Amino acid sequence: MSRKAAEADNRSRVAAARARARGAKVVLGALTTLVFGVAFVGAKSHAPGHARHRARPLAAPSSFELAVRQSAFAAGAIAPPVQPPPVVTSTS
Amino acid sequence: MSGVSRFRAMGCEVVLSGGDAAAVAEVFARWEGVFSRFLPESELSRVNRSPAWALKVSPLFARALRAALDAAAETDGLVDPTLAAALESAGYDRDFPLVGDRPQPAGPAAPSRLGEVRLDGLILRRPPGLALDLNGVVKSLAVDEAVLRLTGDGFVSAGGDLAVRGPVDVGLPGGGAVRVVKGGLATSGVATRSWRRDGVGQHHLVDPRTGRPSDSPWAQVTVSGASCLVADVAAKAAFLLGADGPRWLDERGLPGRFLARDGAIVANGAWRRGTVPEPACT
Repeated sequence: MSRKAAEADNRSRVAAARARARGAKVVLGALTTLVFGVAFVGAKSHAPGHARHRARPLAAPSSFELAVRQSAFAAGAIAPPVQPPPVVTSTS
Repeated sequence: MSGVSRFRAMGCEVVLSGGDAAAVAEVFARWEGVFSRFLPESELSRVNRSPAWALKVSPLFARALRAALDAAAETDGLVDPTLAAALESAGYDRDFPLVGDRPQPAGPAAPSRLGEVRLDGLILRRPPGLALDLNGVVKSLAVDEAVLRLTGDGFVSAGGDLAVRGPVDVGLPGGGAVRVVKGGLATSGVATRSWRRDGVGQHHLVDPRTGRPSDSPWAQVTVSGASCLVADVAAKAAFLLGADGPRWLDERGLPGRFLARDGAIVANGAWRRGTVPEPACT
């Protein structure tokens, strides 16, 4: 083999090696991105520290608290009597 | 309304109409078995005797204690479950028929210890020796549960703490009557549960601010509430507030009727609005 032919053969082998290296880098990058993405979505979905939805306050809404408070200490209904009472309220 | 039945429970007469007396009696027996201060094996007695700082209580006990703590919060501490020592000091240390008048003076005042009681779920925390008395809410809670056992329109009344299912006309202290359309009606006062120590009048409505029986100007206070529990708690608070009682009830929209010690009757605005007949159409 002449010297020129040997140099051309070396250049083509280096170019092929570089091409393989670039391909491997692309594959590794894609895999890394895929694994990160899956882990990110999984963590978002399942880890307690990552809310799936916008966080809401732990306390009950004030309207609910007001409704409970009102129903818990609300008046009964009374009216003028219409017949002799069968029972008497006395001291307890 | 069907016939009226009567039996005794919780130291008073229970009157009911519209349901099975045995079913209602079972409710009262259960509550009395858990919350009597004078039954040594009641859960309340065992809790009060326990040397533990924290203990697990039954769901029924927790429910009543939660209601008592809520009542205390709602009344700024006037209806207080930590006044058992004050009651005993005043002489109410046994079933009421056995209390009687005595020549010995009453014991020292025993102020509120409300801030020392915590309830988390079924876990009660309080210092050993702090005795609870849940009678401020237990009878009315039992009445509210019992009225759910009625099978038709009627009422359940325990010593005058009353809840209705359908409208019922009810006689009032000092005369007169009112129709309870919905909810409960309760009267608190000193007409029956009072006694003397060394000639000094005592009764069971202790003012937590002094640790002694209240010197309220009222003899009896009657309140209408959405439930018997609400009516009972509000009646006790209004009694203890004295002259401020009618206003306090009006601020909460609760109808109240006050019988003063001199026999005068005072109705707050909510009571007057509820009991004045509608003018006839012309």
